[in-house]
Order: sequence, then C-alpha cells, then structure tokens
Amino acid sequence: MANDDTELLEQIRSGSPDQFSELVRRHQARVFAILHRYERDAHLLQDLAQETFLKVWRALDQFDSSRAPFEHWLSRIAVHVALDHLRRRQRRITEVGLPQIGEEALNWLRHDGNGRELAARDAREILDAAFNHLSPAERLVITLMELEGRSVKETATLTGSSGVAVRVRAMRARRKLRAALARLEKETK
Amino acid sequence: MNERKLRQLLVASALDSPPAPPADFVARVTAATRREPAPAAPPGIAHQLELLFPRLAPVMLLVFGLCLAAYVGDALMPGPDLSDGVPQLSNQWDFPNPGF
Repeated sequence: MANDDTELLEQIRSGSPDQFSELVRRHQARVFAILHRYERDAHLLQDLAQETFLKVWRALDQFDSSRAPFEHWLSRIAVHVALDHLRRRQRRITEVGLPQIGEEALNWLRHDGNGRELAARDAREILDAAFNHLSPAERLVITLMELEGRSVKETATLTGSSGVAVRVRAMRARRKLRAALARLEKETK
Repeated sequence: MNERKLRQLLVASALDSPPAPPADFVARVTAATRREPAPAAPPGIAHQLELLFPRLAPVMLLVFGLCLAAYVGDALMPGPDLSDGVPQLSNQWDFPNPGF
C-alpha cells in the first residue's frame, strides 16, 4: 500500500487531482478512528475528518515520501487537527457535571468495579468527563499512549514533541486523570 | 479509583469503535478540494538534487560565490606584477652613480 500511495501521490501532483478521491477512500477509516478518540459527535467527527483531508490536499507539494510513509504523515495531521479541536472546545467548556454520564456508567463508578462489566460507550462517557480536567495536550498524550498503546517515541513523532516532554506530560496527565476520576467516584456516592 | 478499576476503564474505552465514514464522505471531500488550488507540479531537477545532496548544494553555492567574489575583487584591484620595477632597475644599470 505504501508504494501505491507514493505512485498515487505522484499522479495527483502530476496533473491527475481526481486520484485524490482514491487516497481518501483508502485512508478515511484510519482518520475517523484517530479523530473518534477526541470527538464522539458524528457530524463534528465528519467535519474534522474533512478538515484533515483538506490539510493534506493543501500540503501535498510539501510531502516527501522518502522521509516517512504517507500514512504516518496523514496520522500526524489528524492528531494535530484533533489537538486544535480540543483547544477550541476547551475555551467553550466551563463546567462538566455528572449529567453527562449515563446511568450505567454512574452505577459502575459507584461500585468498586469488582467483576462488574463496563461497556465501551459507558467507559468513554466517564473518561470524557475526566478528560475535561486535563489540558488538550495532556489528553492527547494519554489517549495516544494509554488508549492506542503507542510508545513514547511514536507519541513524540505524532505530536512533534520531544520524548522528554511526552514523558513529563504523560506523568502529569495520569496524575490529573486519577484525581479527576477519584472526584467523579466521590460525587456519585 | 484503584488501579484495577482504572485499567478496566481504559481497556473498555479503547474498545470503543469509531463509526464508519458515511457513504458520501469521499464525494464531500472531493467536492471541497475542487474549490481549492490544485497541488503543485512535481519539483524540478534543482529540488531533486537538493533531496539527494541536502547539505552539499548550499555549500557548493557558497564556495562558488566566494570564488566569484575573489575573481571580481582581483579584477577590480589588481596587485603589483613583476614588470612594475623593470624601468627603475634598468635605469640603475644604465646610469650608475657618476661619483662626481
């Protein structure tokens, strides 16, 4: 697929812009998967995905396939679109209360979780409520490392930060996340 | 929240699968790109050379520039040459001190 992407990019840059639709078709699922970690609303998610591909389109002449595969570059753009989105949203959020968490999620929070199942959707609701207490950059790092299982090096490459900065941010984010979750637990009891 | 519960929360959240892109998403993006300028044509040979020799090209340009500057400077301000002192020397030989 990597070589196909390179050939496709050359065709697009050489005067066949319609081939870009094939590029979108190949990679749209990946972009949706990345952005879905940061936005659950379907319409906003589509807007962010479109924004990602438009940024790719505008920067196609700068992409150098000898430095990195296209999908890495695309992922990096998607991550930055997500970060910008979190920053814009943070300016609008003033307070997050328990009403954003459904009953099933609340029940899980109330109990010690021993053997109690937790659906993915409920887990997302709880985490999203806790994530509102983290900075966008902290949420990004925690999402990449804890939810997507990426290494420090991969996270640093995707975010454009140093490995040291990623480690420090991750440590700070974990601490804040625990504190936010502890507060949520306390509020449900 | 204890560690086990936190782990359960993170693992469950990681399993939250994204929605499939809508059927018209590709068409939407394509329509949006048509309102934008087309990507630039592939770079010329100068850029290809720069990709192959990323540091060499500017160094070569610098060396060439310095050589050119030295040549121009030399042409504008010529220094002394061997023939400059010949008249004085020949005068000394032809007209020795008469010793009056």
